Amino acid sequence: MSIVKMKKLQLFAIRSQKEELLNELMMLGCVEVTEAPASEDSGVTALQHETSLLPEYRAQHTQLSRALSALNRYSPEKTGLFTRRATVSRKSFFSEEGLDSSSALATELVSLDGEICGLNATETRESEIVSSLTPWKSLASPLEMTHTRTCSVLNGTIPAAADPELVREAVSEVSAASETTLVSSGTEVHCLSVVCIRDDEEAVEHVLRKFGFTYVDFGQLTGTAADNIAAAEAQLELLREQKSELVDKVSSLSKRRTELKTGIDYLGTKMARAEAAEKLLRTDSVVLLNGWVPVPRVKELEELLTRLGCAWELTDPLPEEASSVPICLKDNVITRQANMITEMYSLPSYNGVDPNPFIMPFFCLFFGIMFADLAYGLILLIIGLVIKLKIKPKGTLNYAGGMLIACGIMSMVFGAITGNFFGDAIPVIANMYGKTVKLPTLIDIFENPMVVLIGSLVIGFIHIMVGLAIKAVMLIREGLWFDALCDVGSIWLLFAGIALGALGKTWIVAIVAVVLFILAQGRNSKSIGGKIGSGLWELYNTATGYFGDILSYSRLMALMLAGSVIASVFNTLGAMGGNIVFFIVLFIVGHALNMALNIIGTFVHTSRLQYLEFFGKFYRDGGKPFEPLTVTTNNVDIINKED
Amino acid sequence: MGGFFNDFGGLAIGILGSGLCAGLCCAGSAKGTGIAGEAGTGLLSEDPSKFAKVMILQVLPGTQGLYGFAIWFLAINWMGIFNGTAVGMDVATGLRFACACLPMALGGCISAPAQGRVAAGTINILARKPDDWFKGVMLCAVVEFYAILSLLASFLMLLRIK
Repeated sequence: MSIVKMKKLQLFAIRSQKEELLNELMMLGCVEVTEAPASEDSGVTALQHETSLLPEYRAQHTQLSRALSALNRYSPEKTGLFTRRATVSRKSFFSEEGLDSSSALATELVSLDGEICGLNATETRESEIVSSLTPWKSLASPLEMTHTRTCSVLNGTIPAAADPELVREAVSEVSAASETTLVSSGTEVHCLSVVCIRDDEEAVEHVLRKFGFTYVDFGQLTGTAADNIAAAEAQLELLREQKSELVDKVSSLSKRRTELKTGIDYLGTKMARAEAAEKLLRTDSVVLLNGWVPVPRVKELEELLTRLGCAWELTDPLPEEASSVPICLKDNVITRQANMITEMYSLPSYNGVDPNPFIMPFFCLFFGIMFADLAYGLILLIIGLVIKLKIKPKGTLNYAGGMLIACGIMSMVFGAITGNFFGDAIPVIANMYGKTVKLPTLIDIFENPMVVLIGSLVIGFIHIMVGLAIKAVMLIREGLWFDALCDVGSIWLLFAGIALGALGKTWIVAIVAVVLFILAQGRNSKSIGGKIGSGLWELYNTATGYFGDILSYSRLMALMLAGSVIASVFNTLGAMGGNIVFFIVLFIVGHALNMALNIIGTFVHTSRLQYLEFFGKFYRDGGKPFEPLTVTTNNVDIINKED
Repeated sequence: MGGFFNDFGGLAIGILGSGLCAGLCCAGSAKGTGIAGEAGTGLLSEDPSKFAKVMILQVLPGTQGLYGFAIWFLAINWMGIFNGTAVGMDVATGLRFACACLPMALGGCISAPAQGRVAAGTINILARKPDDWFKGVMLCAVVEFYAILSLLASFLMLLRIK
């Protein structure tokens, strides 16, 4: 529930042991390997960066990924909401033979994919021939024929706007022995074939130009258009058969999909090891590894390093190194769920505090207040339980499941307090059947919105005070007693004074608090004027800042009421028809919409209250996450069982 | 004229105010969903598999229309249009209803196109960094908040004058 202390690790190992060392470290999964510092800093010269087979692994990884995507393209994997990842045993995951066979599979798939792509290209070409020749299908003369001994053949198109009859007349005027055939008419052009005596060719061509005649180019094609079309169609049929054969072949390989996924993940671990190896420094016989290890895991690490006969040194990070220490949060099952919220903002820095234990209760409380509906909360709770128990995902979605459970429960609590069950569904339904039902409520939010508003502001005030308390603890922990007293104590005194004054007891405390506050905030300025000036400025900032911060919690009330308003509008609309079917349809659609909108809105505003109002008081962010060298999988889960 | 105004004026003003609330909010939402939808077609022409997410982004600026409709509905319900008691409403009452609808009418009409632009930007996020698209949805929800405040302002006023 705090930030785990880290030790800086520096170790020397025999170079021939490098692979074994990295492998063992990966299995242990508690060391983050860092880039070696520049050689002059470490005092060791003549060290070179280690090299690795990383590029080869990457190429292999790309090949396997391509194969998997080809497989998914032709034979999509059937996945549902509750599909869990395939599982493989540890032994078959870390097997080179397995990788070899999945690489062979990948090569086969990629080449099949290549063949299919080739067929696709041919198919496109043949279809183009068919579509370009179709207008000429009724042309009897062979396509390559441009003239005979005595005649010329002119094949071409004129725009659709031109009249073929006029063309025929014009042509026969200049060449009596000519034949103009309209082969076909499309929406854009007319296709014409003109046959004339060779001597008249120039004159005919001249006439045709006037009508916008353009020659058609049949390329290398020979024979009649109809023959060519038939040939191309036969070819297309053949291509389709070949393609479906190939696709069947790909599909038949789909039962080996898990093998491919395992190979990809195994290569991922090899790449991670190779990346770590590239961060090492080496001489001819020794490698130097720099890294971080969490204090609780030091003992395990030392056992391993003793076994491997390495020479190592563990040191505490220096205060000025605080920004480079990776952050690992120690948590328990409840606070861990809030990780999602913290990660979305930024991890704390090494000299900060872990905010999760503080976020967790407030986040759920705020969410519950804004969502405040018994039924909606129940639905969230069920979704959360399904995620946690049925899907069992890893990482962020898992945390989200935990948050949904906690927030769902809080929403149910506040739903019960405000008497919301799908808004005012129960009284409305009862009313449809002529009965009057009133749910017992602690607060009627529409009759007494002021109570909700004041409650929201009070909760906000408490939230901010907790934030200030954390700041005070942080300062005291670092030995800065005086700063804690000046920065936090003076504000508390100010609030206490205002409270006493407002209750009508005395304003003296408040006045003393203001003076002390000005003195405390002005303490860093040099001149008297500067002290008073910066003190007053801080007083102004604090007054307006805290006023705004606390008012900001009015959103708790706003979202609580808004959700109920929309819910009750849908209920009322549904009930107006007096028809239960109509009511149910509108009920489902309306409440689904309202809930979806409310989840997003509530989540954003709950987060905002944490990030701006709460974190602003104490949080030091900017930590890098601790990323130990470990086995991570994206496609399969490793289970500990013997084959 | 005076008699006519007294007999029907209140109701007419109330209907005008509540009608504007529904109409302006719907016009705003149409504009907002239009902006987002147009941006969405660009992405969908490249990657149709993102349809569900694009649609979620497109409907986000549509909520203002819904809010406007909700306020309109409550207003005419409480004015007594459905049960026929609204006839002969005096001018002052009609004006009260009309004015109570104003926050929603203005807030919805103006916030929906603004939210539409954020949603359109989020479609860019969806195209380039699909994993981070939900952050864009949260940016949209920030704009949404002001429509919610408008809804509440109108609702609480209507609740008191009904």
